Formats: sequence, structure tokens, C-alpha cells
Amino acid sequence: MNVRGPRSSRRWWWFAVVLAAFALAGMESRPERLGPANPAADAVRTVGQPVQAALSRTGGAVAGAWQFVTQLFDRGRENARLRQQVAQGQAQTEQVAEYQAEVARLRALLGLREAVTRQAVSARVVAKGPSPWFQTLTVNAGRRDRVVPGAAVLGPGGLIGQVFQVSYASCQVLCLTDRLGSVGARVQPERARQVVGVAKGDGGDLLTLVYHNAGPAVQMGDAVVTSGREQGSRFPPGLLVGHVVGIVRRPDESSLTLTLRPAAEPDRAEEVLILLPAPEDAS
Amino acid sequence: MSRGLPAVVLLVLVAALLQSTWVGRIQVVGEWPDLVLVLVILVALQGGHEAGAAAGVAGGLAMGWLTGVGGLAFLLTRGAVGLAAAELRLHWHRENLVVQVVAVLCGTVACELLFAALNPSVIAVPGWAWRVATRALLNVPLVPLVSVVVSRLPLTTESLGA
Repeated sequence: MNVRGPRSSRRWWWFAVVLAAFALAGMESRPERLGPANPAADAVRTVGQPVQAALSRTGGAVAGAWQFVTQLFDRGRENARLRQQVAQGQAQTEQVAEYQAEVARLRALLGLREAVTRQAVSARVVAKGPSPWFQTLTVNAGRRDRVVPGAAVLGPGGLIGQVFQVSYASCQVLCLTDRLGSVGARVQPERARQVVGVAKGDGGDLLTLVYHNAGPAVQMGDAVVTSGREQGSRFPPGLLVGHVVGIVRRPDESSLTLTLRPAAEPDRAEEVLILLPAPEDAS
Repeated sequence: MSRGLPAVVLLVLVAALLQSTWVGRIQVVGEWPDLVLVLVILVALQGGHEAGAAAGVAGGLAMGWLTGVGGLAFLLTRGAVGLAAAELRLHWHRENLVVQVVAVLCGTVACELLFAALNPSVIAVPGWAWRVATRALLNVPLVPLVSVVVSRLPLTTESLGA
């Protein structure tokens, strides 16, 4: 019996297969290099997307039951947190009504047109990245829906991430919480509005934003939104990124590190909104 | 090419699809098992180097495509683990469940260590070591089920060259 003695032709066959596999794997673009998917990946994803969608739908019930069981233990704490959020939400709603009235008055005063809202495509999350070391999602909108690499992706609550690869019928989304995910962001409340930086993921559940200056009055719970300031950014300003849950000041006051809890949890997203480029970006 | 290899590749692709849709949703303490890796290891134990390499290459490519990033690292780690597990087959009794469990535990840790060597920034992910250990343990319950499926593949006789 010969266990590992392949003949010469077989060896060449294997060499060709491995070489082809390396070529195909090497063609996989990195998230920092936005672009279309390589042709092989494009074909596989286009064929596989309906299967993934079907599996995802049927798997939803199983996953829902599993989540129910696992979350039973967290229900008490979650209820308390939700009650607190509702109370905060009610207070904020009253404030928002005030602001809306103020904005309407100012717009009328300045004669501004209604802000042009970007077109968006709604899509369903059909799969999540199979590896825990990359936080990516596959959603069922692609080139056919005019999705472009770099487009901002919103989930329930706020910004989830960015499209980094587009196939014909699907696209890959890099979540903000991935260790390669980042977005230009600033603190929303007026008192700390000058705190601008890059909110980065670390592969866990949280984001970090470092502000290289003496820290103004940032408070726990402050909202952080996209700044829309980076060169060539496809993120419009004002999208909710998350809330401040940790503040660390360097003793010499030279920098401020904020820990943010993302507004949208990629794991729980079933549907997302992909912002299409503004007309001036597309042209 | 062995008769069972297309079946192995197909099975690995199905496993990768299941991994990205079902398995990834069934989380325990925030982690989930790696069905593809378990399959690669058990196929290699049952079928030898050719089957292990085929499963590893197919699994690595599928993981890379479904993730959209890290294709080469997935390919190298899964391929290497497939070949290493096939090597074990020569020394250990491959149908022994304990051997299979040990192979999956060691294979998972080895795979994650190799992956971290290729992507050092992974180690900075909060709780990396804990997550690797948890994943290795979560892979264990899959072993009996996957083993039954793999034992039905037409691999062993041909790969042994009988």
C-alpha cells in the first residue's frame, strides 16, 4: 500500500490546483482597498446568494429560539436598561420636537431648500462572516441595485459599517466593530462638538475614538456621529455611530480616549439600508 | 483524482454556507463553532493527505469568499491543518472518537495560532486566547455528527491506495 506516493502526473495536478487556489485567494481584495469582487468570488457569491438567503430565512427560526434560551438569563438586566432608555427617549423626544420647530424657523429664515436626502437601498442580511476574526456581513444588494464600494450601511439604531466588495447580486459589508473598521466621527452635543477623530473597531463589541487635545466636557452617554470630514468620504455627516461608555484622559491632558458602544449591533441586524452615492459623488 | 474528492469539496462548500447562515447564529458566550474546520480535520483523518488537502483548500477558499477578506490566510491555515490531521491518521486509530475529539481540539488551536501568525493584529482582539479556547471546546459537540457524515464518504479505500 502506498499512502503518500502520488505519481508525477498526479503531483503536477495537485500543484496546479494549489497554485490556482492561491491565485484565487490572493485576488481577494482587502477591505482597505475598496472594489469589485474578483470574478471567481463574484460567481460563487452570485450563485450562492439565493441559497444563503433561503438558509438564512429558515435558520432565523432556529436562531431565534436559541437566542431566546440564551437571553433568558439576561432579561432582568436588559429590562432595567430598556426602562432607562425609554425614560431617556421620552425626554429626548420633547427636545427633538423643539429642535424641529427651530430648524423649520431657521430654514424659512435663510430660504434654504429642504435638505436633499440620499437615495438608499434596503437589503436583507443573508449571512455573517463565518470567521470570528473578521466582522463582515453579506447582504442581498449588489451592482444590480447600484451599490458601490465604500457606501455607508445603516442598521437599526445607526451606522453598521461600509460596503467593501460588490458582486452582482450581493455585497460584503465591513462592520465598524471589525479591527479594520473605522469612520471619521465627532461628539454630537454642542459643548464637546470640537472632539473629532476616527472611531475604530477592535474586533470586539466596542469602538475607540482618540482625540489628541485637551478634552472638553465630554460626558458618558454622549452621542457620537459621523463627521463626514475625511477625504473622499461616502459617509454623510450626522449618522449616529454610538454612545460614549468610557472616558480616559491622559494625566498630562494631551489626549482623550473615548470608548463607544455602537448604536447598531451587527449581530442582530436582519435588514440594512445602504446609502447610494450622492449625485455629485457619482458623477 | 479519487472518486470521493468532488463529494468532499461539495460537502465543504455546503458546510461553509451553513457556517455563514446557521452555525454563526448559534452563539454560546458570544462564540460559535467552526463547522468547516471540524469537517476538514475529520475528512483528513478518514481520507488521508489528498482528501485532507482538498477539504482544506476548498474550506479555505470558501471561508475567504464568504468573509470577503483574508482569503490567503484561510487557505493556508485550513490546508495546513488538513495535511497535519492526515499525518495523524497514519499513527492513530482514526475511527476512535477520542482521537477525533483530540484532533479537533488540537487542530482548532493550531489553526487559530497559525492564523494569528499570519494576521498578528488578531491577537489584539479583546479576549483572543479565551475566544480560541472557547471555539475549540464548542467544536467538540460537532465531532460525532460530522464523523457520521464523513464516514459515509467514499474515501478510505481509495486514499489508502488499496
